[in-house]
Amino acid sequence: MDSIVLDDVTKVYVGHSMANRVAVDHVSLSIPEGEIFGFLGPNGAGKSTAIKILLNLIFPTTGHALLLGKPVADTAIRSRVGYLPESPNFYDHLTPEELLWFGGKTSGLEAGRIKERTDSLLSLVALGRVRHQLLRTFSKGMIQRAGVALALVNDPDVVILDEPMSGLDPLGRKLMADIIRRLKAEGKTVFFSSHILHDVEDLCDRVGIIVKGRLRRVDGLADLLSVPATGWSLIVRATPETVQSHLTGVAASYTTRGGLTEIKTVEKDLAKLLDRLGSLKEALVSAMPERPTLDDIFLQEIDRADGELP
Amino acid sequence: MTHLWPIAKITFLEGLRSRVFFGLFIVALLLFSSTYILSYLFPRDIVKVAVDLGLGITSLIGLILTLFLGTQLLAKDLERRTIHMVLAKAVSRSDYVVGKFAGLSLIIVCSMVVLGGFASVASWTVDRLTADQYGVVHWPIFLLALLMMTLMLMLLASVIFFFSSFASSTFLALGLTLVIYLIGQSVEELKHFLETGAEGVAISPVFLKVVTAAYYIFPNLAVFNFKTHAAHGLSVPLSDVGWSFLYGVFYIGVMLTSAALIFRRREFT
Amino acid sequence: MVRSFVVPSVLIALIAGHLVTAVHLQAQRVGVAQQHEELRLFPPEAMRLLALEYRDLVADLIFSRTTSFHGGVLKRGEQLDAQTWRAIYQRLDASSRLDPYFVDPYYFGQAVLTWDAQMPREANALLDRGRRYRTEDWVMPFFMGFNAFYFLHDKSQGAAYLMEAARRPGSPPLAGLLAARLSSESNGGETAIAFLQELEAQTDDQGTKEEIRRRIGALRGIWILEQAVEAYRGRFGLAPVDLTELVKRGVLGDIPTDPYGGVFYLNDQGKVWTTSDLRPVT
Repeated sequence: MDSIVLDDVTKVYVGHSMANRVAVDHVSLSIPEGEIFGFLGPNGAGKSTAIKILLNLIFPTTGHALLLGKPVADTAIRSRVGYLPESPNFYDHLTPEELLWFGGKTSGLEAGRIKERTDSLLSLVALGRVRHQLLRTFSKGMIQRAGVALALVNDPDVVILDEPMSGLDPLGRKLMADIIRRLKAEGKTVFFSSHILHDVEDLCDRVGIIVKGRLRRVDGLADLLSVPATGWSLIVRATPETVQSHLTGVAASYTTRGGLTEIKTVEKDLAKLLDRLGSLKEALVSAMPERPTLDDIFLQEIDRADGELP
Repeated sequence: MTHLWPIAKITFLEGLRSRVFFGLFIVALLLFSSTYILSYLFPRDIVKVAVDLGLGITSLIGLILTLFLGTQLLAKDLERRTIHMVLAKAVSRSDYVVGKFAGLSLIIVCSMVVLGGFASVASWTVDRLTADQYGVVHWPIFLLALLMMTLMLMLLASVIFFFSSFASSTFLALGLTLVIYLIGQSVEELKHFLETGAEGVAISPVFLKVVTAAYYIFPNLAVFNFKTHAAHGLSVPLSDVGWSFLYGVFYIGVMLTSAALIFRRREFT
Repeated sequence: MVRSFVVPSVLIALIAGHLVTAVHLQAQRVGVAQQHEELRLFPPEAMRLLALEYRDLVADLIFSRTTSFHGGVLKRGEQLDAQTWRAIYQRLDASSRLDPYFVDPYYFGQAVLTWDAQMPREANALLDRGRRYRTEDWVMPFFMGFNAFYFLHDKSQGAAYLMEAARRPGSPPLAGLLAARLSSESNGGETAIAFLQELEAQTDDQGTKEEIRRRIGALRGIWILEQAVEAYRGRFGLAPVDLTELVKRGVLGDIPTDPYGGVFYLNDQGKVWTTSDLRPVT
């Protein structure tokens, strides 16, 4: 059974003057157990909307969604799900301890277990010292961490995170990444949305790119990135003039960076280039195959979507 | 069902610790201490005035508390999106509405106990310090007045919930509930006035019909008002109390159920 | 350098302008304030609606302000004209409409509307509400009975109210006796004295109490003299020529003094009266 299923889900917001806004456009997605899935898209692409449909906060116009095999409208199934909203807001006048008590109680945990989970989670997110302080005294980063603790208090099988890295400093981001890896190690399914590509690259098994409500590509990360190299980039410690003089008749482009020159060339010319460099080989700093980065793929999809008719 | 308690409890804590609560109690304390002084401005009905003041202050502070906390605890929940964290846990929309109402009711009851306590002390003081000919406090009816006042405030809280379930802002929910309060306190008086006919005033039958309709649609809050009875020790038939109580329960039920139904279909972006 | 002065100067000028206009308007709108004064008492039904659930407190407030107003006028030694008395009556009425069980407006009304304002009908209209609502209170119909008898000269109505007072708990035995005797008594005499004595006991206001005592004194004087005239007739077969004869013939020790400062005399109909006419002689 897949942990998360979106089956041809569409969400249309009826507008005032004729214009309807399609937030989610026929999105279908299946996420198996134990996978970390990165949901990538620019702002307003429909990531949050799709996630909220999973949590029954928003109802799909057509299509349906399943969590752990049950329809998302089933309230009880959420006792096995953890959710961290984008820029979470909590009741100001509660303490983290009370927040987690609430999360645990509503998920059906008993008092002893709640205490256990509270202790371990609060120390995990480094909020142990402020467990009795009111949330209104917390900084944005601390609130985010409290949110993570709340999401995990019921030891969920599926964890859904909406822009979990937003607003966190590098230390916080590392903490979040570590938690996600831990969840994977524990066999949980993690679904998170982001527009920070680096985080996605680091953590995900699979990536889905959504632009303007439509799912453009879904691929394993490794597959996405291990396409044949489109070219090579060589960096030589020499001036462009020196390099140029060696490489007449070879198709290449040169750029200077500091005292180094970068030479770009296509695959088939690599051998010839290396040969021509001859004596300059000692001055070779690096030779790297060029593959599209996630950045490139991402921007590519956005461009394609822009070029389409609305 | 078991989900009601966690929601009720966090609602209760949230309300209790908010500054509105604290500020109002300071104000109440000041007002109650004036009871002693003000009662003595009257020649005979001294204790009646003490009771009027005690119950009046309790009622007013209770009203302000209910209106502000009621909107803060629900409409603000929606505005600030704090509701997401609640609904994402295994909590149904109905659980949410009923649980929050339970939490708010708990706050109202606790407030009324404290305010009513102050009012009782103030009235008791004046009673003890004056000869019986200036009146005595009739405690059973005094307590009844407090009880029914509490029920009325809970009814208003349910009205806030009803409006918050679809109103787009805190301010709107607050305003609408305030209007309901004003209508609720005057509709019975207006209806009786129109029915018994006013001297020299022509009453259009259409207007009378409108007022009668309003009487049945809007909550008639006058049925919960036993302040005059408490002030003068007038006896209240048990059946009157029973019917008022039932009326309150049914109206609250209608409001909450409607709110839950509307909530079921509401989306939270 | 110059710029830093401009804004504060403008502000000061604007504040000055505000003060000037405010002061001027304040003086100009005194006339409007007087209108507000007159309009301030709403029709009673409107007040009941506006008071919402706080009727009892509003009743208390209106009463308190009415007595303050009345007290203020007295302190300044001013006289109250008929219009002002009417306003006072309306306020007492409004207060009692908001809380008909509230006892103070009834007592105050009885004290001032009868003797001072000479509005006994209005007093009884007010008291009637008290009679209807304060069903365990004998004083309300008692006051009404007194007013009917003493001011309105309606003995049968007076008797009816007194009977009602007699039936209410805590009423003095006197009430019943007075009711029974009212039909046969004329203006004055034992009935009136007994009535007034009870009334004095029920009145709080010192000024009114003294007035009633004075009246009792005068009526007692008249009664004593009338008794003496009867005794004289019985002894000598005919009425005395004037009251001094009573003393001369040893029927009476001395002529009582009229607390109002007048002199008792025997009128053409053979009834005892006083030159003061039961009004203070200045």
